[in-house]
Amino acid sequence: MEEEENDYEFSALSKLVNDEKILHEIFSMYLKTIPNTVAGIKKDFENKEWVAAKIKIHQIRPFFIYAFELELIETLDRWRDLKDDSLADLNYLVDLSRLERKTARIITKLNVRVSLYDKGFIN
Amino acid sequence: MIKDSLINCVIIDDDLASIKIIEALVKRLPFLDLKASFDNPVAAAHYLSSEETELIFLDVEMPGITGLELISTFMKNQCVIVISSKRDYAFDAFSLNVVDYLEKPILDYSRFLTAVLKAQSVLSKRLATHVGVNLFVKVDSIFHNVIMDDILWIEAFGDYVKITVGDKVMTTLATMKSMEKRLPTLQFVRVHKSFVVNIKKIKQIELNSLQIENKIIPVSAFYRDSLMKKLQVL
Repeated sequence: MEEEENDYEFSALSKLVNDEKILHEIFSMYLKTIPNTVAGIKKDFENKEWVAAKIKIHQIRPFFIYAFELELIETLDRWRDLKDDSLADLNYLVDLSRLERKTARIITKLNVRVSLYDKGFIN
Repeated sequence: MIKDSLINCVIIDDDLASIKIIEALVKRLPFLDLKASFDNPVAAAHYLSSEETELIFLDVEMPGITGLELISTFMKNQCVIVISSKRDYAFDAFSLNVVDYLEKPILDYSRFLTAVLKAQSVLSKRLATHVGVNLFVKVDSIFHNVIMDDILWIEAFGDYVKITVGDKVMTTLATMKSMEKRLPTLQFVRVHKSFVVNIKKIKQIELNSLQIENKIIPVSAFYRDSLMKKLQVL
């Protein structure tokens, strides 16, 4: 229930950009990149490619800040700041599955929003 | 302040969504003229080596070359606002004389505005002090040394400008915009699309014109405010 409230909260970004067309473009970019990047992080973790994983973690961080996912940000920052060999010892499965779950939820919401814009319901 | 002239700027960030957001913020400020955005720092370095740029919004962690390497290797005297999601680089960035350091993602428009205003102030101070006391004007392949103080007015003349110094008129290939950039902003002011004048040389000002020596120069309504702001009026 707690997750439902804020995980697609892009109000800070909306206020900042203040232009629906540009917001639409940004959300469309997120739809194209974020799911792939998260899938890439999972793969990198499985393959113990810590450097590549950290680069991707760094890339998705702004998205989750705009999405107001503060708990996830803590996790991402912890992963990002760990030394590579410490990452190898980390039990990341729970956090990784939470990252995937929340990403899927936000992306679904963004998909709806982008579709509404495309159909002219948001302008 | 460079209130009357545009500050040309570029954005360098490997994240396209970040570029889009910074572009939107830049667009809100009419005195910023965004010339280009780069998600590839190497292409940006190439651009910076050939194009005049005053302000750069720069990410740090990028593939190929980092933002800090870009500053130390390719940048000359541009103002740089670093936008990074890591605070770790702030010390190194400030030791490279960046104007400001913003944390990514940007959440607060006023913080962005503060950084840009800082850059604007740095640029205008630099312009006021950095502009030399003389200017070499090329006329028929000869460079004439002109003391800026002695310039009376500059007039647009097609692709050329006519620079009036005392009773001499020099015609050289230049635009009014490029001339304005070379002149001290506190001393010279655009009063018409075709005229820039030396404030020190103005004899009197009327509603739609001013006089320097015996020349009556038109003052257009568009430029009148900026002229009056630069004058000490009793």
